Amino acid sequence: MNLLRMILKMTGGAMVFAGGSGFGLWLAGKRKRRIEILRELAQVLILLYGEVEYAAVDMVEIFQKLSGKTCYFRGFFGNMYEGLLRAEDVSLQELWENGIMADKTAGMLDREDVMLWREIGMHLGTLDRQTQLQTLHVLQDRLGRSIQDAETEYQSQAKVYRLVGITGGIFTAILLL
Amino acid sequence: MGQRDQVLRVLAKDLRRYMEKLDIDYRLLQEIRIRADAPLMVVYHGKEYFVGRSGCLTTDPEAPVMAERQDVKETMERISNYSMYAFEEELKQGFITIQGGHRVGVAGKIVLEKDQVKNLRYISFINIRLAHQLLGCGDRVLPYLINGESIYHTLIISPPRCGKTTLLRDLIRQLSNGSAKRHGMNVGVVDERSELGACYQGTPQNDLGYRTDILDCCPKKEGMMMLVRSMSPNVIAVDEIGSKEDVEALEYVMNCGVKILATVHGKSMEEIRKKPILGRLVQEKVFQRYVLLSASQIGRVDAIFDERGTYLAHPCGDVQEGGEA
Repeated sequence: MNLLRMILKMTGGAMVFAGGSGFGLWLAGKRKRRIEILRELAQVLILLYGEVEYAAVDMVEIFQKLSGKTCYFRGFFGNMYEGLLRAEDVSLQELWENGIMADKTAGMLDREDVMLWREIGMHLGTLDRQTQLQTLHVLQDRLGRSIQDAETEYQSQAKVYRLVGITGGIFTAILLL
Repeated sequence: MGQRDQVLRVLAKDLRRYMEKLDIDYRLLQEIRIRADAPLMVVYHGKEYFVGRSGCLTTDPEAPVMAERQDVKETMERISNYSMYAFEEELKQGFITIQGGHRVGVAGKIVLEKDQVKNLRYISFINIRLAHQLLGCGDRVLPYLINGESIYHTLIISPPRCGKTTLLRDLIRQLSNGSAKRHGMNVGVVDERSELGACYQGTPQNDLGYRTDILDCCPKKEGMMMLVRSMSPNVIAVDEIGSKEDVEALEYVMNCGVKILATVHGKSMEEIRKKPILGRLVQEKVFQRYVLLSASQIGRVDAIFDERGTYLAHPCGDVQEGGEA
């Protein structure tokens, strides 16, 4: 009986430790994923810039291309493409906003990142070429700074999350034992 | 997609709501005029009407649908497929061609750079001109232009908005396709204002025949030279010639053995003879056929002359007969 109790306690302790460590690792992974998404968003801006400056193709075609060339934003641009093709009673800006709210990628980003994502859509397609390119350029700069900050934060935060997760798990396991 | 859908899809949703209610024949609808803070108007069957709130056309200026600034903005976004940057060159010309070949004229604030139009901003006026191709409207005219396996150098003379482009379009189509009695010809078209082919994303929206090559939005002078050098045309068709450069290019093309089918603004042969540049070509009998369209009835051919000014055909009726929208 005592042995069984001991085994159960050990198992519970191991699970608590795994849970705590896992949570720490998950948080660190989330911050890393945020950086990956922001980098992909930066790629989107580069692609947009190129398409507007050199190809001058319309937004429908650009969204179709972006849908095929992105990973995290595939679904978002796919929906944008289909939404514009259907020519619904919704403007591009409304489609963009609704698309962000419905996309799970938004949940992996901070609030400031989502605001930047929103801002990209606010001025898309309504400006002349020069102003459009300048706007995209400004957004690229801002995003670049966000990515730098995120990378700097990640270096310190990731260690903290993992450490806190592991030690928290150990501590909780000991407490319960 | 029908003509009705092609046009309605580019309108702002508030304007579309009223246009959808109208019980009209879109084949007779010529223009839709949208002006910021002004009544929504249409030109239907040659007459101007306001669009009423009750879903009918009216001449009463008191109760029309008013187009707001936001409606103009939204309409422009839809027209450009949310890609205003992609239509810079077209906006410099003052128009965009949409699917179906309909021309959307725009006006607003011009931005100049070194006395050239650089851009058009604050667009507040939109005129959607619906394209109507009348197949067969050149049936009665074409036999007078045929010269064996080729055609005579032909000049179509017409006042503005009297059907010369519509006639030219059908003549191009028929020459290109040929018939049971006549082999088709390679026709090169310099479509400077995108009115003949009405190309949308590179594809002509009007039927110009299957042996027709189109240079879209190309200046006439350069276009004619390019076609002669590269596309081996039997006939080159151009709309609205008149400048010195146009005439020089025409002469070059004619010297290369290519036949010309052209149009010019005018009300009569006398008026053309008096034009300083074209008058010389008339005197030298360069053109062998002149087709004069009526100023009083759209699409009506008043007369066809040869190079000496001799009547070949008296008023031969409305070229719209036998045509179909």
